[in-house]
Amino acid sequence: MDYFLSLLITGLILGIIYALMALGLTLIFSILNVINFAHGEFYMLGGYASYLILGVFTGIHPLLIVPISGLIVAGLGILFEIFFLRPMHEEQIARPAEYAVLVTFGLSFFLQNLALAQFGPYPHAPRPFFEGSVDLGVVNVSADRLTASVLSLLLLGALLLIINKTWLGKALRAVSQDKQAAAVVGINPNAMNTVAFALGVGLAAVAGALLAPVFSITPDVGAVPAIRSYIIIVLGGMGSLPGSILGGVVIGLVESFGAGYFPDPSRALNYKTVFGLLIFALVLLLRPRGFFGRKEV
Amino acid sequence: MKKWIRPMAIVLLLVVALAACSAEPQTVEVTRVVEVEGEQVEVTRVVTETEEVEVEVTRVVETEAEEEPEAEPTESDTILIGGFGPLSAPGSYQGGTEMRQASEMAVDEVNEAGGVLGKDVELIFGDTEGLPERGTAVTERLITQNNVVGLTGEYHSGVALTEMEVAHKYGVPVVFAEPWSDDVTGSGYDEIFRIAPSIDYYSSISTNYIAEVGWEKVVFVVEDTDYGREQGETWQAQLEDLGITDVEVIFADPATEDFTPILQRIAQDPPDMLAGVITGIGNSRMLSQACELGLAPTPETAYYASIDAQYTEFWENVGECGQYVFFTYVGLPRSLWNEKTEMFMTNFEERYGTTPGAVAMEAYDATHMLLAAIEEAGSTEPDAIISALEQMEYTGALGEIWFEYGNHNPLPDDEPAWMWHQWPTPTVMILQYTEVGQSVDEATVVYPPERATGDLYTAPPE
Repeated sequence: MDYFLSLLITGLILGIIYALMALGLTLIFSILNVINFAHGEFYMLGGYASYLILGVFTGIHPLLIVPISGLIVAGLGILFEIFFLRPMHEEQIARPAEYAVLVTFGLSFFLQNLALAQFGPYPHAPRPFFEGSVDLGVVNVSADRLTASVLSLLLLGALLLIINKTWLGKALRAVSQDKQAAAVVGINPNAMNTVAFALGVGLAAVAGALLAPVFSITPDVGAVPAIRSYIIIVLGGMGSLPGSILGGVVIGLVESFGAGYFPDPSRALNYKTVFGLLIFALVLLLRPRGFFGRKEV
Repeated sequence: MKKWIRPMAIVLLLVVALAACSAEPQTVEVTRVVEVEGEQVEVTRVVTETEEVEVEVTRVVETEAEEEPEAEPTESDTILIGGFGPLSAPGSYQGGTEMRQASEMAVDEVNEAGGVLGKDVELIFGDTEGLPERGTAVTERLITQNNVVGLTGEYHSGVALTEMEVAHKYGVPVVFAEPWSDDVTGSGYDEIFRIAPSIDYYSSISTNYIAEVGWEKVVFVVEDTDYGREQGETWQAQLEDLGITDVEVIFADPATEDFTPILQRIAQDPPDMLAGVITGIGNSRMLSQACELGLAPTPETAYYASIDAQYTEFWENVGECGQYVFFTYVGLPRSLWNEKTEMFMTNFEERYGTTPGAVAMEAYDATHMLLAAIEEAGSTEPDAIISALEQMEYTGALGEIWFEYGNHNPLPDDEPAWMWHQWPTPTVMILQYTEVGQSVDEATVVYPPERATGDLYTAPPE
């Protein structure tokens, strides 16, 4: 039973962190209707921003750097959205769907190679938030991992609150549902696009800064979380924020229990991603819209 | 919107320029005049950092038919050699980058000393991304398009196994620097040489050490690559021969972020020794997570890390968890450094601002050996270079290097197949970090006994 509980706890902790990463991608997709293929690189930038700032300001507590990293990357996101994505929404681009794929892929390659040139190929890790591990009764969890998970949970709650209870959230949802109708009632769709993109990549960067002391960072560190996030947002229902949270937690638990109970231990870890994909295929088979996907009208 | 275009373009240009200025020169342009269908054309070749090669015909040169092209540089003014290794993911680009840097350093040294056969040497390094299919493509391109006369480098065994087939097809000699698979030199190809240890030899050091310490239950988590699979099987077989049968091998994708589910499973019945043999970022991730769970290194369970524990960045990523970790090191301990090792270490640190690992030393020596063989052969003919390599006794940063068996001294029946064109005695040792933040030079050499500088194994305190 202890073993089961320990897998449950570590799976939940990881799932919440996965959800934070996927939420940014969902937000961007639901508002801008763009799949951001550079999402993993914004996650990577968040980690490097935290690493760089902590290297310069050695007296600051690492937790304070997390929101700063998010803000810096959100600022970069604003620039990218204005210069590269807005022309698409203003119908200046002939084939916007293909353009969005190419421009975000291009950004992904550019950022990865820029990071390789600036930081080199070696893994780096910023100072830990807190030293040591926390005994949760059935399992020891590192203080940093627990911190990342708790903060992710708080951020997810805050974001849901903003989306559901504030004027900004209403405006974002309105643009997500019908841009023209939103414009008619005085909402600027372009401004909402920029806000959504900045918020989305800012969340990815916060996830990167939170996880940098746990998983370390390299120029390609965003690749695996990005692919997992694509799975999570489809699993949760494209564009659904609660769906992404549930999707993240489900993937975290399935990976944990899959690797923990797969009969052949020599392959258990290797098949971890496969377990998530199996659930993904199963859900799509039974409920093609994902957990909370909207019906196309 | 248009008013944004100009400032945007300026910002982008600045970013690109800054990125370009931040590292060593990343693009090389070579302009030559060649004859195409009876017409003289000027061709510019641009080799970028990732070794993508662009060839552009920049102008047609108007020359008289009888005009001698001696004033123009030609291909024969330069000896081209090829290098390959992973410079980007999913390959272990930490190792590949160091190999490229070391090979470039070797080529520059040779050029400064007058070149080879009186000509300058140019290194064209291809990024294999750690993918076998890319290895094939890169080797094909280096041989058939760049016309290199010899090849050196490579980090991943799985990639080397495909590269050697291409090199064998075209008869181009290769001095492999780092791939360990027994099948590399075990192929018995005339063109293939290696100065890295074979997996069989490398593993025997660690398995003998495990037997010597007396551990009976061991778990290896190895990367799921050609190298990792061969390494896992070899360890299992060698330990069985030594009477240690409680051995488990678990495979992991090198990009795995979270090892905790499998570590929790292992923790149900903790082994005497846990090994995390994953190159790149996976090395520090697995160790940190095993340490967080309280699984290893502990008084009950020792921890054996991958060779990447030699890098100085190891401590930044694992912190105190790195204390009492041990690992296999390929290369010379400081006590055995010769003049060339001293020079290499100093120059590398000055040039690149980082302490090189053993792979850099291997790539450096492999490149120097290939160039020395061309000089010795007096020609760029493959057979002459192969013959020179077979008879070479070279003193490099790794010590005295030679190839015991080849066409001039055939492999006896009682020697393993991998001894063909193989340096028989690369230095392989087990090191243990007994203090936080130790460098490789400060780590205790715990095995083999003739090189030991401390106790066989220091367990963490209770």
